[in-house]
Amino acid sequence: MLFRGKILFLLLLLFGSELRSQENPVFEVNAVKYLLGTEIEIKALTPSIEAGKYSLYIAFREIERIDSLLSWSIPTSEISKINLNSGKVAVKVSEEVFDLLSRAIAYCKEFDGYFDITIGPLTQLWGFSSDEIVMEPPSETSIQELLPIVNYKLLVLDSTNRTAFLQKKGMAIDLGGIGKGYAIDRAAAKLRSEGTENFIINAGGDIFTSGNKVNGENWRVGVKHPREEDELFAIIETTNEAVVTSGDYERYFIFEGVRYHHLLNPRTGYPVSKNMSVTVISKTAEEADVYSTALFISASLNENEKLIKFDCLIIDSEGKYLATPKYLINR
Amino acid sequence: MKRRNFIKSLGVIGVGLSFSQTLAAGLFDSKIVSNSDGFSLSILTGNTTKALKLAENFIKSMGYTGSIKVDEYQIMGEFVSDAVFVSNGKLVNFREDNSASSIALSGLSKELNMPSKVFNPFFIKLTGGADKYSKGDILILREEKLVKRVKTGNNTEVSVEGHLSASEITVHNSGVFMKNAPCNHKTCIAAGAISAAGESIVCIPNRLRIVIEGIEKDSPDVISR
Repeated sequence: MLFRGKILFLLLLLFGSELRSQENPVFEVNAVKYLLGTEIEIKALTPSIEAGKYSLYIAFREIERIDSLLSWSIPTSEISKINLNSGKVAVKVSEEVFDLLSRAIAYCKEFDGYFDITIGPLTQLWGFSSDEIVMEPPSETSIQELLPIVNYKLLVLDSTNRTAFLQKKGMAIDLGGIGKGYAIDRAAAKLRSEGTENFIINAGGDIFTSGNKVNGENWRVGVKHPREEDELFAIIETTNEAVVTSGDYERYFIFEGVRYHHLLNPRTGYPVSKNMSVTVISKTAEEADVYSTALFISASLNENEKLIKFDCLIIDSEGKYLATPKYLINR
Repeated sequence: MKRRNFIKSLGVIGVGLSFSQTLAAGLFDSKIVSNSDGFSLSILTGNTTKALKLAENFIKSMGYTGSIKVDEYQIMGEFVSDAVFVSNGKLVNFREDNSASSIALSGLSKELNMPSKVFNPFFIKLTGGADKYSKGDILILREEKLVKRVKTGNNTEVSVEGHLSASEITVHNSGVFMKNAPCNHKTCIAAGAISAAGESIVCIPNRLRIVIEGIEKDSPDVISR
């Protein structure tokens, strides 16, 4: 009897899912990798651990591929090649990069230059994207010198030859405000194409949610309080949407009592001080990435509240906030 | 290396994993006394793919449903492969009883040639039910490899070599924080202390991640920042 029992359990162990007809468990698999200059975590719910892990592998491979195309710190990337040839020659690019640059320019126009992918020289000058320590702002003169080469209108895209050309020497594309969002969207598409529908992608705080939790509920995304270290400002219940926050509290320094952070106004060359944090919800991470950056720089609760047409949470420098009805505020 | 010496070798690199009743004074202490309504299956193995498949079938054969958390870390060094199953707060001694779970676990153990010597193995843990929400140890990972495991509540200072150089980590009664780091921006230090299950601190330049095991019930699934 005991022997028969043992046989049965060994069979269950080896062919568990095939032999049981009752409801199966759902496995929560996750993986973390350092890509796109940040820590990326993907958590997926899957009926099969092996299939779930494979879909994570495919998603990360896609992010790696995009990083190798868009990173300006990788000399062989297409963006690096465009930057290295600024003021010299147009560079042939892949269809994917051409399309992304085309959309990026459309965003630049939409936000009238408050969002500008040619902000590279200023980003480098301030040093927030480098590993170097930043203690004080650059000189006014050095900022003024760079402003003429920060202008998306000087990036020429030729659709016939599929080339990109930065017209002035020293110009540089920095896709920091769009590239991560695009990579998240691509990773999400890969996960879905592998049959994984219920997942969260967290790329350094830029979030994409898909499907539901095991109990059928939506995912709950907390929004960090911009000034209270361990507190959340809000919790959003969402699914099949991206939630991206731009804030002045992650990469910053204080110099002579003034906070200087990484979100620079392309028109002035200086960080914007009117907002502390802007969170945008959108169907794509690319859009949420762009809009959160652009709104952080351009939005002012007092002046142009009516212009804000996205689902968002804006916390201004005085702590006043605007939240669209979609937000579940939990303060 | 003998199975019973497993914990000693883990102790050398500061990873307090335990894989037998004798050794249960480490990792499974809190679970054993907790009487919690849940389970955890821990496996130390050199064959991750096979172990995960067997673990999945084990969970299914036991009739568990709902959400099962799967964690997987690599541990550097030489160890003895083993498996431990804790159900409803009790360690299942599968080598000495004939319960259903013991029989299934014996099968898993045999399939994975346990116990046997393994190099740079993977630690796999599947957790379900209430155990998913119990606060576990503090894990310190370098490039996603487990380099240190510290009990929460301990008052201790830990030094861990990262990608750049050593980072100093302080563990105290209410949590853990990065005290000193060789990175320039010090974002990891500015992150302050963490104390809840599932929270983490990351130092990207030094490739270190500190995470408190478990999931805080009712906490958000993810934080946008």
